[in-house]
Amino acid sequence: MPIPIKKALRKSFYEFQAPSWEALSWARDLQNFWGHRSESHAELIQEGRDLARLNGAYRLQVMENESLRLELKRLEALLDLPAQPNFRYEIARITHRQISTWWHEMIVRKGREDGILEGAGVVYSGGIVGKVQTVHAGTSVIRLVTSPSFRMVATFQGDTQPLYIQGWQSASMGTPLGRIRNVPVSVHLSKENPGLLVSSSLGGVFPSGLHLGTVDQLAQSSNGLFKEGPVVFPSDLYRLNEVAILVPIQMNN
Amino acid sequence: MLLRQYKGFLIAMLANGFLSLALTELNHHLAGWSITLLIPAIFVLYAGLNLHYLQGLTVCLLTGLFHDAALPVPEGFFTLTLPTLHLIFHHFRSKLHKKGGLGTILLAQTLNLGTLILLHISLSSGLTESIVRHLPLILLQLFLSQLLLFLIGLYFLDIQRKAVTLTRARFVEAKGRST
Repeated sequence: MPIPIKKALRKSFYEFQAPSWEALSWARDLQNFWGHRSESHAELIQEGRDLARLNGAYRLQVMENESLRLELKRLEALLDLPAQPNFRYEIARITHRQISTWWHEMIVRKGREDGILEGAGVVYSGGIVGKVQTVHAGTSVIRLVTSPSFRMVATFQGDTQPLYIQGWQSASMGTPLGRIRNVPVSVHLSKENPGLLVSSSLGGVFPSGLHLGTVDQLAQSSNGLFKEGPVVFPSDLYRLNEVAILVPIQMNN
Repeated sequence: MLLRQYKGFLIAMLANGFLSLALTELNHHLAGWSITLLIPAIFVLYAGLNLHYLQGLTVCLLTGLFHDAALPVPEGFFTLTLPTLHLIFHHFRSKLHKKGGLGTILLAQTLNLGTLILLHISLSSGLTESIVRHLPLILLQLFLSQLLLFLIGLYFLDIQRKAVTLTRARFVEAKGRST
């Protein structure tokens, strides 16, 4: 069968059943809502108090970020540097996760109609989730950072040397793993002194400084010029219910 | 009249759709442990044992297309394997009981295992390292899939048969009233 027909067939069958997955996700949200309805007033007041404290801390951080942003803008203008890409955060609920030895995907309830673009970065409160692989009318498929076909540029926290991150099929149950390459031979890490990886804005997909994972062992690569080793991503990566998709504002305009 | 003629087909399609959805939900919750359960043989049980050949084949073909669209499997894998499984079930249907039984469940288990092994072989080309490292997790997924098929296979077949019997009773009742 010709490839365009195969693709059209697959796409139409996908779109046909996508509303049922969305319905499933809505049902899960509804179940969650009724679950919270049964909570006592005392519990709700306590949760409200915790949230108010968190909000206070976040408000301070927002003010700090705003002053840093203005400072960055001033320096960019002073040095005539190209502007950093800006992103709009599109919050999306996960309809379902497909994670096994062979595939590392999540399907979210936002798609073309919400301005999602293919290749856009996906993040959550704990750091990087992955990139948007395919965009459909009302849903999108996210390729997770643990997928072997996922690649991105990262740096060690407090360092500027670009490193190469790739997903890695985990042989153990529920451990999100990746691989780090191109680490200079001068870097020494151990379990007592692990390296914290953060995103780099070099790829143009993610803003710099987002948490990625930790590395606590490195070995000489086959070419002998660099070191490489396993990256351990946060354990809650496979249990997410909501993510934020980074929609580049410049690209959108 | 047309609805009556195709009620088996419609019930099989609906039941496959609901089961597929339930399986998606189950796999969503198992994703935290990197486990995905697949039971392709269950979708051809009713079609292979109870439907006319062409109707059963259409059910399996459509179910295969739905599966291929939903899962990141090689292009057309389930579109090819489900009709093949249906063909095998249809070939042996004279020797098997329409309601199921030990023979049916054994054949379903064998075919399901064969399909999953074929799927794992076709997907293993994308591995960046030896498959041996992943064998324990693959074997666990295979075992759990087979167990799930063993537990719900005959119930699923029975539900579809009962749904058809119920609708037939309704049709007869409606016909009786109109005459």
